[in-house]
Amino acid sequence: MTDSLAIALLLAGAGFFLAGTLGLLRFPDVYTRLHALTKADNLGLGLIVLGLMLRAESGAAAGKLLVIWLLVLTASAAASQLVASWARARRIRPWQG
Amino acid sequence: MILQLARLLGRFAVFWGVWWLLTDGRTDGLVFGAAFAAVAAAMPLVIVEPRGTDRPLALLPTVLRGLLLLPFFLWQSLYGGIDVAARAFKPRLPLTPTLFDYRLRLPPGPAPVMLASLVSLMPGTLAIVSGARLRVHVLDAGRDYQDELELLEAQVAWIFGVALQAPRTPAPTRWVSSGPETDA
Repeated sequence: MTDSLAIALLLAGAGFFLAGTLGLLRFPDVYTRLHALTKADNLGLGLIVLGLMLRAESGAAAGKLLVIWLLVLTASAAASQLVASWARARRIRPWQG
Repeated sequence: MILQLARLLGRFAVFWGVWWLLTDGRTDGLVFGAAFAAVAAAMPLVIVEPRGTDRPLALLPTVLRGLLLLPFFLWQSLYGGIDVAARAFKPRLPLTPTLFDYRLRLPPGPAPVMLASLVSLMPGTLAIVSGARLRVHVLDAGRDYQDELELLEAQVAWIFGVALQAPRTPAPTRWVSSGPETDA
């Protein structure tokens, strides 16, 4: 039961990574691409971390995985703000259809 | 003095907890970790705070309040991920992006950065801090984001234990182009 739930979470996580990459390739400008990367990839990683937590050997190991996810979230939020600030400083106009 | 001691102990608790996690819950290294956690907790007494910080951050209460709101943020993040994934998969690429400014009521410091990070996890919004404003990029120009942003801002203020102020900048909220711009 736990194993099948873990597998489902891992697959769903992989699906969101695919969506994030698809967005990176298909979205028209730097800002919209950042949307795809920050949201879809973070959710994908979250689901994968959740799936792995179900299979973790101890509570501390599960907590460590959670901390890894939070750190990646922080790093990705910082990176996306830096990229967006850089684009604004370069006066790159957002795509408007 | 009491407050300073409480904050010192709070930081120590957070750092020691992180140590416990990083060592996979081993008990034989806890004393060693306590020493390092104590040194790390004492650091802010020696190091000068960054400019613009009104008062030092109370780490433990901030972490605990953040954990209380974690389910809400996770839920929003799930919704945000599904929203953008659906847009990426749809053949017609349903995007009507726009930019606008949101006037911050949070005092300067770590809180606005935290708000911008959270806004970037919410469905359809991406934000950067720009002085006393939040510059928000949205995927769906037809929606109104004001209420969501205000709610989120109030939650961030609660997490950091700071009060909301009247916006420090004058009105216009819709973003206006200034100067020559290049296409992306």
